[in-house]
Amino acid sequence: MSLAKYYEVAKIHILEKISYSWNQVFYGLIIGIVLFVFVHIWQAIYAGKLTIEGFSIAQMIWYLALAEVIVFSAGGQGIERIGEDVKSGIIASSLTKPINFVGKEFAVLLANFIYTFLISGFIAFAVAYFLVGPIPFHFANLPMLLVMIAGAAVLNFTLVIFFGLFAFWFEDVSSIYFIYQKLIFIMGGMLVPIDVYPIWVQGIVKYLPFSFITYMPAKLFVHFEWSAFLTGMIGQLAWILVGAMLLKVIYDKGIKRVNINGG
Amino acid sequence: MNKPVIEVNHVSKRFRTLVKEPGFKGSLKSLFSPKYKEVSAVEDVSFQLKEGELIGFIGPNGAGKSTTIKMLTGILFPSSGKLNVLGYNPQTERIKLAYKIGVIFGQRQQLWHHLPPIDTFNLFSKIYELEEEAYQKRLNELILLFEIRPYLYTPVRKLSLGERMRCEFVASLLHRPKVLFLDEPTIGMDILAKKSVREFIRKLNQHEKTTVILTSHDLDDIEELCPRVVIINKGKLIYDGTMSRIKNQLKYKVLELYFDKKVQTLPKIQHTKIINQTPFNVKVEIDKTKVPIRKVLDVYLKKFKVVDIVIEDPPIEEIIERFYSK
Repeated sequence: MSLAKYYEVAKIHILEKISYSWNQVFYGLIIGIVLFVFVHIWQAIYAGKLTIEGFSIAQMIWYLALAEVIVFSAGGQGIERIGEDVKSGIIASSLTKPINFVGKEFAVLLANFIYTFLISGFIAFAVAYFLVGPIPFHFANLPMLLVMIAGAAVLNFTLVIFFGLFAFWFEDVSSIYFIYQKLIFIMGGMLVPIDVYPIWVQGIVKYLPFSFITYMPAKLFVHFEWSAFLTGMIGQLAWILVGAMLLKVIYDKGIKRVNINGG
Repeated sequence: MNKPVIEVNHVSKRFRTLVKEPGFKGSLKSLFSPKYKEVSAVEDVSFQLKEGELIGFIGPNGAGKSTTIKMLTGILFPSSGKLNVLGYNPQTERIKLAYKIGVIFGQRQQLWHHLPPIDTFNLFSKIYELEEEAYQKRLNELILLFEIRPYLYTPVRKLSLGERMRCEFVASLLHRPKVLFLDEPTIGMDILAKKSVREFIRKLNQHEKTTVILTSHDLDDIEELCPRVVIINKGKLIYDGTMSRIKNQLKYKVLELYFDKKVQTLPKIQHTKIINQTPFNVKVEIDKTKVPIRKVLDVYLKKFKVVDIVIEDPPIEEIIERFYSK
C-alpha cells in the first residue's frame, strides 16, 4: 500500500481549505473572543489568589488556549460529515476507488487538524500573550509536547471515524457529535482543568479517552513533568489501540450494510 | 477477446426497511417495537458481458439498475448469487477491482467542488498509482478527446453541468479502466450536452475497446449508443437482446397541450390516441412513423388557443408493458 495517495488526499484538502481561509481566520477570532471572556471570568475566580490547584492565572489561560485550539482543530464535525456521506451515499464514490476508506478519512482529518491548528493556534496564542503575557516554557520540552499533541489528534480521529460510522445503524449521528463534543468539553478538561474536579471524579475522568485528547497535552504545555508525559503517552497508545480495534469491528460490519438511496 | 468480462449469476438483493405507521403514535410505536419489511431490489438476475460491449441497462426508477451496478462495483453485497468482474469477486476484492474499473454516478460528483479539475486529476493519478510520465501522456490524450483544456484551471463549481461531466469522464478514465459503469451520466443535461456526452461514450468504446454499462432513463441515450439492451423491471430481468427488437416501441411520442379555456370536443387525428384529457389540457400519443408531430400540432394550433406545449417519450413502464403485451 502506498502512502503517497493518502498524502495527496491530505494535500488536496488543505488546498480546498485555503480557498476558505477567511473562514479559518474568523473561527480563530472566535477563539480569541472566548479566551478574552475566560480571562475575565478567571480573574474573578482567582480574586487575589496566586494559584488554583497549582495553576497561576497565566498558566490557566495558556492551558485553556491550547485546549481550545486542540478541540477546534480536532474536527469533531467529522462525525457529522462521515455520517452524512454514509446516509446520502457519497460513500459509494470513495468505495469504488482503490483507497482505504478509513485511511482516507484519517488523511482528511489530519489535513484539517494541521491547517486549523496553525491558524487558530497563532491567533489564540497571540491573544493569550497579549492578555496575560508569556509563561516559562523550555523549548527542550517542545518535542514531547508535539508528540503528545500528535497522539491526541490520532486518538481523536479514531473516535471521530468510529462514531461517524454509527450512521450505518442510526438515522442521524448529529446527536452523537453533540454528546462527543460535550464530553470533550467537560471530561476532556477543555472548559476547566480536570484538577479542579473532586478527587473521586478526577479518578474516573483521568482514565477516560477524552482527557488524553485535551487535558494531557494542555497540562503538559503549562507544567511539564516527565511522569505526566509518560502516563499520557501510554494512555493515548492504549486508547488508540482500543479505538482502532473497535473501529475495525464497526467498519467491517457497517460496510456490509451500505444501503444507498435511489437504487 | 470473447471471454466474458462480467458475469452475473442468479443474483438477488434484498433490503430490510423499517415500516413506520403514520403520525406521532406510529413513530412512537416503531421506536419500541420496530417492524421491518423485506424489499426485494434485485431478483435472480443473470447476464454476461463480453469485452468491448456497450450495453444499455434500462428500467423504471427503483427497478434495481443502480443496485445491480453497485453490486458489480463491490459497494453492495448480494443476498445470494455470484458476481465476477474481470476475474475478481467484487465484494471480497473490491480494492483490487477498483484499479481496473471506472464508475460515474450522474448524481454524485467526484471532482473537488471548490478546486479546478486539474487538482482532482492529479489526486486520482496518485490514488491509482500511475507513473508520472504515463499519467501526463494519458491526461493530454483525454484533454483532447473531451475538449476540456479551456476549463482545466477553473474551479469546478463554476463549470456547467455538461462541462463538469466531461471532466468527470476524464477523472474516471485516467487509469484506463477496462470496464466503465455509467449510472445516469446525462441526468439533468440539455440536449446539446447530452449529445456530446453520447459522442464521447461512443468514441471511448470504439477507440479504447472499453466495455461500457450504461444506465439511463433517457431512452434516446440508449437508442443512439447501445446495440444490446438489458431491461430490468421490479428487480427482475425481463429482456436481454438487441436494441432493434425494442426499437419498434420507441416510435411513440407524447404531446401534451394546455389551452387557455375549457375545451370540450377534440379533433380526431389518425395514428394518434388521446391518453388523458382534462378541460384545460390533453395528452396525445403519436405514432411518429405514421404521422409527423408537427402535423398533429398544426391541427390543434389552428383550432384552439394553446398556451403551453410539452413533447416527451412515453414512460419506460409503458414501453415495457407494450412490448410484453404483444
